[in-house]
Amino acid sequence: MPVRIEIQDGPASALWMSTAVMPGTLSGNSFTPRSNALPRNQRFDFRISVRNTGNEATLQPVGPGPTGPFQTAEALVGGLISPNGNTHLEVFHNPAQFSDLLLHDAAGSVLQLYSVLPASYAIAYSPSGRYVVLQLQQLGGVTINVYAAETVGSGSTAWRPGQLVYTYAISPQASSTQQASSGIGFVPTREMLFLTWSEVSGAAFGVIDLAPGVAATARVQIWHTSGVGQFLFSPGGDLLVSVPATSISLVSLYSLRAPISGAAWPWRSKGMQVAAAVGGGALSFTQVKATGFDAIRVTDANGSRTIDSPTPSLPAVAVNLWVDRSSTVFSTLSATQYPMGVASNMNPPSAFIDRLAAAGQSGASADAIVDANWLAVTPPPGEHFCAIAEAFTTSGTLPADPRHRSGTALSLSEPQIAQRNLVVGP
Amino acid sequence: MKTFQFPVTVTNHSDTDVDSLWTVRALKRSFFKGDPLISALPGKTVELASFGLVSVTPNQLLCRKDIKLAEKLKLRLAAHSSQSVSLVVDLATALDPARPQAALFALEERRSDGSTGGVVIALSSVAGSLVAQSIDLAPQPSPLVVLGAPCLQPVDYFCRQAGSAMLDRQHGAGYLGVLLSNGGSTTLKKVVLYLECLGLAGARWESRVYELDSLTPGEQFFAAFPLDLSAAETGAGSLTLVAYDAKHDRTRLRVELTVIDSRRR
Repeated sequence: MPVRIEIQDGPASALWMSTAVMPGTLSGNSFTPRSNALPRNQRFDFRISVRNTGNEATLQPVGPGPTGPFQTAEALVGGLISPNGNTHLEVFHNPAQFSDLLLHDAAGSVLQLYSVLPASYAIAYSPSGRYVVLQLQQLGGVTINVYAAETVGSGSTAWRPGQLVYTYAISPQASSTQQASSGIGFVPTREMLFLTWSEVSGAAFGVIDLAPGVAATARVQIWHTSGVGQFLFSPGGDLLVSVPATSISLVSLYSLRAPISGAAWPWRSKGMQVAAAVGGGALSFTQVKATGFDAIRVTDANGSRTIDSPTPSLPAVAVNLWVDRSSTVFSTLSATQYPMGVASNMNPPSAFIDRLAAAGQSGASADAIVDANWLAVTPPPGEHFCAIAEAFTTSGTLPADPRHRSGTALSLSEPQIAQRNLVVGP
Repeated sequence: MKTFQFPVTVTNHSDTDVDSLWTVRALKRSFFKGDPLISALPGKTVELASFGLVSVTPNQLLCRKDIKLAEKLKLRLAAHSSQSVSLVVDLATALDPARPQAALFALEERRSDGSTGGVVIALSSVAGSLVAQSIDLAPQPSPLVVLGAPCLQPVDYFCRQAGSAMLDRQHGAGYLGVLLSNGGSTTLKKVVLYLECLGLAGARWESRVYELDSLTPGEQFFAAFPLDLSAAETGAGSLTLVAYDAKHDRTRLRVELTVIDSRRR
């Protein structure tokens, strides 16, 4: 059984009196439980005990990515047959002496990608075979079209075979600094197009996310123009290093994970900014950890040192604390989530736990403390209310998205939800 | 050869039957270096010929020749029932009343429902006999300390300005930065620190997990967490960080904070 997050309910005769949802006071490192009758005007915390009863440890939502040396962009695959063999291309010379580019897709359909090819063009597949890249040289410039060769993604945002996914024109007429030549590759292990072209000042580059569902405005991850000579990608394709052509004193590091600012990331060591300058000689980068501090080893003629990755490590388990005083049918629409203090299931969680080990191992259970200082002032004396705790994994989704729970209902039949009833004292 | 028996009661509080696997191992005192209870035990170690586990019913007396000791013992615990597991030790040499001695054992339990448990038993010689006590080891708190007040900043790397426990809602979105240091005297290995809870009503925040392979005494690091105070309510709350490492238990570091609104003064 994979990861299964639980908060223990109360005994069968009183499910709503879970001892895993315990009011009390955190002082120093020690938590002192309180009775169910909470005096007013005192500060409270909640201790929520969470355990994993599955036989796999929780995964952090970022990583663990691959480690190893940084590498250059993946080259396009020439020829008319897809690298995965699913589709192939045809340059069709029609009777009017024009040539069209056709795609024979996996379903056997023939789709026209481009009509009336110019005299000079180049066709290639992406390394995955899911995209076709067409370079057209005309009017002194270069236009790059990217088409989906297969269905990519699902639902309304999916790319369909033959669909034009992206186009970009490098035109010396439009910009006096641009030169009409280009290099095209793909970010390793990612469906991201990597473009370089010439500028008067040196090489310019861009990274374009081709994944379906990415908003057009967010598709360009980095668009940069400067004198750059060498580009290196982390093994997982999450990071890009650009090394200037003439001097390696200003090496820039970019994150290719969303959210992306497009700006170079400041070099840091244990969170402190450090100089990006490196010595002469052969320069290499190696991903030694998937994320976080000291994740990248930089080696130059002076030796090696480690710097932080721009990709942070995120907690694997989130805990929400809800309070409901108005209903016997608990839902995220009627209950209030704390410490956010508003009813919404899209708020950030109330607390986090970094990870839970597999059942039977040390670390399979852990506590989360939720600061509940709001209790000191909110409910009137004598009022009865219900504290409902829920825990869920954050892996693979937004932290605010409650996993495992099918809807808005906060049902005690769900293993990851437990309740404790409380009364406010005088 | 003198033999001693020390029973432990095992209870299944659940509604279903479970299998329970027990193991025993002798521990060295260095395993608990710095623990005050262990430090108080006699320094000499009891010389043992053998030790092991046996399952007995409560108050059952056994002859040593009838007992077959095992390092692992499997039990079937019926729902809401108890059984007894005994640690049995055979002395290699007689206890000398003039030379206090001690021995440490870990009895560990794993149940088929995934739960784990156990007990540490300390044996010490008193007047030529052995007495047992179960040890609740004092948690080893992390020596990490928070330096100064957190700072608010637009970017997520080290802030060189002094922070304040008074956070201005007008700051809006940015990062809450915390400077931490190894306040201990030894190098910490495999340090983990994360933001557990930010108890400021209406504030939007994210947690991050910071992992460090090693942190020398006095060495600092900077942890930053995305924070948006735009919709925060003014008032008091706290920031709770959890830290642990290879030799220290989970420890909470709480920093008191107050949200103010500079435009409402």
